[in-house]
Amino acid sequence: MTRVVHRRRRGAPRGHGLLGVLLLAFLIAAPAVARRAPAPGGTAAVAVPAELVAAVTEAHLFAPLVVPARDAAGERPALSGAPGFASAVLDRVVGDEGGRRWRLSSTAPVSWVATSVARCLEGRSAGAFAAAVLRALTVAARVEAAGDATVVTFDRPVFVLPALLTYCPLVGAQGGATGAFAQATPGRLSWRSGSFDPPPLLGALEVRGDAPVSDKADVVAMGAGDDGGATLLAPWSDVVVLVQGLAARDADPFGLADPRSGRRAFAAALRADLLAAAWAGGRGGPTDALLPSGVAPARPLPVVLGAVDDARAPLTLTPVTPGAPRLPLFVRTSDPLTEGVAERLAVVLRARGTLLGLTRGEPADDASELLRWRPPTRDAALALLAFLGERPGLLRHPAVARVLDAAALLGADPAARLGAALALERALLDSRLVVPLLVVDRWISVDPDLRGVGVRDDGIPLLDGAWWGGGR
Amino acid sequence: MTADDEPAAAGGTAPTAAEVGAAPAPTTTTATTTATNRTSTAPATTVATPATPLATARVGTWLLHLRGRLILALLAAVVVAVGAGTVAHLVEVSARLERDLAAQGGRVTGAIRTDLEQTATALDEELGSAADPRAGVARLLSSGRVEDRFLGAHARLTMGRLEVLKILQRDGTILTSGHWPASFGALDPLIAAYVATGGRLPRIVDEATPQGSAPALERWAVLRSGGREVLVVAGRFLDGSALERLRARTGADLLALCPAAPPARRGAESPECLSVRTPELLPDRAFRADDDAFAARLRLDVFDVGGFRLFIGLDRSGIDTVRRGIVVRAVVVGVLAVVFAVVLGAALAARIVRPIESLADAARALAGGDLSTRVPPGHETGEVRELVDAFNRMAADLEQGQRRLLQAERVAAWQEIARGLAHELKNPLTPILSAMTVVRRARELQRADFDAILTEQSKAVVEEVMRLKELADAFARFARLPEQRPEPLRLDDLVDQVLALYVPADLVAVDRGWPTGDARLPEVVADKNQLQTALANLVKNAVEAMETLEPGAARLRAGLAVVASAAGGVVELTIDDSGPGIAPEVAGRLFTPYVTTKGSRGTGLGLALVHRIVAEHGGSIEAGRSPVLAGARFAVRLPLRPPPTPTEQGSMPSAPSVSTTP
Repeated sequence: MTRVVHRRRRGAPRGHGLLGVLLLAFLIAAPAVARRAPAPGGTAAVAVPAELVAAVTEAHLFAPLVVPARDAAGERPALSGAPGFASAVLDRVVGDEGGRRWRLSSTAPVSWVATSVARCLEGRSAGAFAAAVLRALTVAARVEAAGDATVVTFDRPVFVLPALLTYCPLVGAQGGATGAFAQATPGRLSWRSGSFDPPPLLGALEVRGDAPVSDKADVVAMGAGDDGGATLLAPWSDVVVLVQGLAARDADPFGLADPRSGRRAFAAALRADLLAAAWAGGRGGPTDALLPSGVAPARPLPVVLGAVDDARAPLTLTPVTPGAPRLPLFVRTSDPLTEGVAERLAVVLRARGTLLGLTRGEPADDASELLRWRPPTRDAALALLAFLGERPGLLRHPAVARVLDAAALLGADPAARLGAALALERALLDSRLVVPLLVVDRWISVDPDLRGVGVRDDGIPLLDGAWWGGGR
Repeated sequence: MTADDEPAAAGGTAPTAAEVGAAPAPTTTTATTTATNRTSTAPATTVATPATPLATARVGTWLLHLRGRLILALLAAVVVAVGAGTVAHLVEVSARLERDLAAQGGRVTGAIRTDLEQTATALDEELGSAADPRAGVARLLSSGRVEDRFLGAHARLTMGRLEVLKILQRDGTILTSGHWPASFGALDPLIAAYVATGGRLPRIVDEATPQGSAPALERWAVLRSGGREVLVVAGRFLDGSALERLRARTGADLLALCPAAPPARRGAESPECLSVRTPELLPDRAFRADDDAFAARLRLDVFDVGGFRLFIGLDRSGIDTVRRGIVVRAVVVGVLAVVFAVVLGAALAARIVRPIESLADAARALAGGDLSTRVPPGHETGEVRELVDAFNRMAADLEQGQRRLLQAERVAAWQEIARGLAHELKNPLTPILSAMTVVRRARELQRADFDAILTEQSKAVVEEVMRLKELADAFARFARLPEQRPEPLRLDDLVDQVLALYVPADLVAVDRGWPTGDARLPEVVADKNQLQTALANLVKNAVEAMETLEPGAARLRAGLAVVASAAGGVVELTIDDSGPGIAPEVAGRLFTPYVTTKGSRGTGLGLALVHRIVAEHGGSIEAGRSPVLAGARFAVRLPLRPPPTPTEQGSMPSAPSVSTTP
């Protein structure tokens, strides 16, 4: 779509057909023009959790190499050779040699594309998940600029390169912006021309990392409350997951393996509904699945153990000594919901005479971790691989390694990839290495006057096409 | 053996008390003679003593001296005075500091109590406002949604100054909790404590937190609304930072919160305490209520606050520092006082004791025979001066008396010599007179055999005259010994030669007793001829004493041995015989010239000559009963090195002393 827009700007037909062409163009572009009414300009403040600032900023500074076709909204052309994907940067992708070698033709300079692809495959981009996927299966990739195309070579068949490049940012020369905005000052993005995408209608963006406590931003991702504005939901939910290290899994401090109490009693004690009500505005609830609805279809899940009577046994804040057993638990981000769930886990543990040792930061190898996880892609196989690529300790477990079918997970058959993904999810759940606690929507509160705000699959708010409808 | 010499007092003196006391116990001693006055300090036999006991003995001796006792007394007085003063000062200062510390402890404790009470009051006010129907907590009761309740409590917490805010059902179920929102629905074990107190909440409780537990000052109230009754608990954590603020504000050096009693499940473990302290206060030790180190370092006040005991500590090391300072200063003063006491004591002792020591030295010298000894006049006064004067007068009297005694003895000796000499001279004169009378009568009668008579009588006269000449020669030899020619010689060889020359082997059995071979006696330096003369006299006397014995009964034993003495090595020569021994009537005069038991056969000068030779060699001679042959024993002791010759001494050797022991 970018090329179309550019042609429209730079090369409007002249002569007798001019009026007709203009009329046709008006008719085609009418919905978009209407969205941008009444006029470009204005500033929108975006508040997101601190850990998302980089991704939000990156999404507005750089044009994506590939987007899902349903996100293109007609502004980006379909990507030839990659059904279901669109791109304003790439013309065509061709895979050969059984998925080992890919050739990317682009409208952007090849060196930019090559560099950008390499950044994403190496994990140097904030929003890219490709590196984690490749790391999970120890796939090596080589990226090179070959004439007018970029060539990506893998050491094993990878049929999902377009999906891996979803939202991969195109970085210009010397790291220059290629998207709708340019970095003006830290935290402030300004309108720029020459984007591969249509020019934005907002004059500037302020990106802050003070959500959810912010109450003055125009766009608040995962805010504390509902201030009466528009609420956008991401296509699928986040999942709050307890990842148990092998030692913790074997010690079973939550009694998940206990046939008398078990998972059901744990769920009853956890009260995921109340947790979601308290820290997610009621937009969530209990879950037994790692892959949320929207990423994976309905499927059989592990049978929940335990009896209802046991589940209703009251929790007691048992007095314990400082020397009592302590379960180390890592939390990477300071998400309030995650904090609340962690404290609830502390209650459950306290009732069993164990303390919770909560540590904020990168978890140690094979340590237990509590995280609010969002599948970065609609592709269940790639989402799970991205999950595992960030937690290599899980891959060493025999139950996981046994079902880790690399060929299927990276294959060309979507049904086979989904089947392999579901088997992998089932192994993680059955082994109790991964304990889904609750699902919670990713919502974005938007000022009622701000129109055209979008939400990417990965939950990043997008204001490329946003405009102030209230005349601000 | 028969004593062949008369005893003589000439040139001899009675043994001094020191000599008697220092001399080794003799077997049988009838007379002791020494060459010099050194006998008072050089006993014949002395055994060396080890150094350490000797040093100890010297110290003990010093302590027994007046000088030592004086210094010790002064030292004792100084030490007692300084020590008593220090103790008194220490007690007084310590008591004052302890009182000050107690007063400070009272102030700190009061300040902490006040602070806690103020906090409790503030909490009560918060609870009162919470009970207000218009307050958020009251509104919670009207809400049926559980999530609204604890979310409301959480909002209440963030708006107020509370760190603990809980709403509980009467059964202890937590409806909401501000500091641990996720604890909703759990049973709070503290409910039992709340209810058990009958409305009086323990002021500090061990509040459960997500990380474990922490002491918290809590108050509570019952809130009733719409038919519901809940407990509202408000509080503030007394965590490390809160305690540190409290400690800094009140000036305590240590604040510690300890459980009043360890929970039963802790078993024998000591209660864990939360404590804050000044940085320098035992930083490497965790506070324990039963830790002696803290008890020693701190003054601790304790009061119970609900289920906890609050320890308030004030560092008492300042008192200890002051005490140590006092002790250090006392030690310094004491050392200086001791030094001063020693110096002063030494000066006083010198002033007091020096005359007495001079008296003692003079008395020792006097006892040793030096009658010219006097105590030089000094600065002494009073009784000491009188004592010195009296001593000097006594010494002068003794010296004068001794001089008169010596003069009298000398006169008596010469009278004895003259009497003996006259007797000896008179014996030849009678035959001469008789011979000359016979010759004169034969001439008057014109006897035909006058020539024969003359020849016969003149022969007798010549014999008697020769005898007189011998007498004169012997007297001359006694009066004037030839000059000594000392030389190294083997005494055993010399004794062997004398025995061979003067002992008839067929009449007398000789026993030689001295070591041979490697253990042979060392050489002595002496005049060989004089020693040979002395030995010959002794051996001849022994042989002559045994002439009347039955054949085979005459036995003589000569012995030689080295004995130690303070002056060095001494060789002892003993001559024992099996004769009748020394007659008691001459025992005290054996070495006096012209004393003899052999009648006209002896000159009475033999043993006197022996005595003189021995004396001039720096030795001594004793006579007594033989312990081995039951006759007489003569024991001669000679130094391995001779004393200075009379020439070297610059004067004639002093007259030998003769001691007579019954």
